[in-house]
Amino acid sequence: MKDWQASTPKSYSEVQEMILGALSPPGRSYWGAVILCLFGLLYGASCWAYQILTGMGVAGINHPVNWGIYLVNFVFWVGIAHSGTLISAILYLLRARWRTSIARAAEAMTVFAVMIAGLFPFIHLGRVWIFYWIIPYPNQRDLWPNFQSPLVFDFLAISTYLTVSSMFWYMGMLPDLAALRDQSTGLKRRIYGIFSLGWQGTHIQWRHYGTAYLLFAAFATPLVISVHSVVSWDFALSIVPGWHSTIFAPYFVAGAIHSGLAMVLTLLIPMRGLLGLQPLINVGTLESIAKTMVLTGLIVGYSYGVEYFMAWYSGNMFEWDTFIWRAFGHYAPQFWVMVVCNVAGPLLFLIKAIRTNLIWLFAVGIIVNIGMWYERFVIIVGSMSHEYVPHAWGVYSPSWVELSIMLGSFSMFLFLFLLFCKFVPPVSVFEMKEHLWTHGKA
Amino acid sequence: MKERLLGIFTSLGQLEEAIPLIQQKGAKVRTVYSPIDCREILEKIGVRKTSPVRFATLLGGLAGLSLGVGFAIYTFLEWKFVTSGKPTPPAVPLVVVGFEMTILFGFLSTLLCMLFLCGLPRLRGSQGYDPRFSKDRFGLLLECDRAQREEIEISLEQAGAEEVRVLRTRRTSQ
Repeated sequence: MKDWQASTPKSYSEVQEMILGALSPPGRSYWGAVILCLFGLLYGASCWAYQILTGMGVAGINHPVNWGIYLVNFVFWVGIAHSGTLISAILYLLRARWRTSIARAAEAMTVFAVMIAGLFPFIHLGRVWIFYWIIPYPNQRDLWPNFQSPLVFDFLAISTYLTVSSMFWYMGMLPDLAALRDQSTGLKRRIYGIFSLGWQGTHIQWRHYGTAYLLFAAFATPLVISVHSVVSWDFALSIVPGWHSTIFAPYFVAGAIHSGLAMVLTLLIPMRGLLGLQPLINVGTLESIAKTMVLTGLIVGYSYGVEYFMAWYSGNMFEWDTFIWRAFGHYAPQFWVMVVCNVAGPLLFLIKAIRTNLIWLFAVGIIVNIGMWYERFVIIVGSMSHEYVPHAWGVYSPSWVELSIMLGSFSMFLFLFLLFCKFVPPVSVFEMKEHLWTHGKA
Repeated sequence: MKERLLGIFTSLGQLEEAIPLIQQKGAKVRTVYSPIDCREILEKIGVRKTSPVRFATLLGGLAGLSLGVGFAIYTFLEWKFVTSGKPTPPAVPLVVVGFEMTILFGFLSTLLCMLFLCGLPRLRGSQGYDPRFSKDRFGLLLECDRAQREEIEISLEQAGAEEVRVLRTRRTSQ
């Protein structure tokens, strides 16, 4: 463990060589993993094609549960997308130095997760070829999207978030792509030359870039809060028991950050080992994530408690019955998995020996990811299956098509992340150099 | 006749020391190349730290807000679609539309303005650029009279320049 500490880079060239060295031609195991993920992605895509050709009947969604795991996955992936911007933008504004080594990978995670999240409403839509009806455009019938609908809010928020997070990620890479261009030859040099837009690092460029990047972060920060608030209003603006709650926006935002941080741990721990980036993404950085997760876990736990308190204190029998059913009804196992994984799991990080141990960090990251997926399942499916009228109650199980498409989404995420690790600098080179400069090491 | 010189330094500290020396001798700093964003350099060469890109942000944000809210109001009035007995156009949902459009347009206008001011995309490299500037070297591109060239070269070397290059000669109208 101590070997890599001695190899902590001490000069700009060492930083650059270490990070760009991670982009060296990968071995067979890497390509094996890429092909496996591609296969999973194609399998998921073919299942979606099957659903389009056959009809929505192949999915398990039906009355009373009309929102199944497609929407569970939508909320889950939007949540995963949150921490990238949180780490990159909010911690940038707060001048938290520990973000530097992990921000790039976290931003990449955000972009890929939003892309996948954006697919699920289309998958759920069924007749995907008429998706453009939600776009406001002049038409012969004088129909417009209803701007009072939370689904239109969603469309605006998610598309804005995808645009902003992609550009924020790309612009953050410009100086590093130029560095990559300058040390490459042949076709690689041409490709990186195009993507670096001819960046030269002049004082004029740095002047405008620095101000613009700060403003990007300032825009991304309220945006990240708004996006998951808007997603929560898909539920909270309805009158379904268990959904119609004013706590939903902050509750969803906290949950999103919680799941995103867990995914950062899940991805970064293997990545740093495989790419030899231990000196840059050190245990101290991972420990900072773990400490933040203790806070977000407590907020999530508090939200679970407050939901129960409000259901009881309001005296609304439907609300209270829904919450009792959540804990002891058909979906009780999922509910308790959610509570244990999301609240009790991160509390293990109160012990220093656990939050500084890579195996534990990775394990708790996975546990929280599972718990957060179940949280969305419990909220969405649990409420719809047990609404007001007893004879309309019913349970839901996802079909093989839904599960296959979900598998495809996870494969797509890992596929894109694997490509990211080997084709663009996984850690911000110029920010690590600035880190050295401000600490007087270079 | 004007001459252009490029001094290449191994550290930012050396470059910072060189700037006042060559300025005292009458040379003009044209460009500083750096692998990192160092705001102190801007002060040294008399360039304001803040960028006018902020005004594009403000204008873009306001345009987005007006467009988002205005378009939503227009569609409500055009369609006259009454939902839940609420007045048309309703005020509260406009907040979400206005907010998202403010962010989107503010962000995009900042981005476009930044690219424009940075001269990006740049299809051809400039004469003074060296690939080492994106790694670990700092460059100081300056302009001086031909008569001063040797004196400036010596100053650059004294300040610690690893290499000094004479670039193309530029004719002036004088």
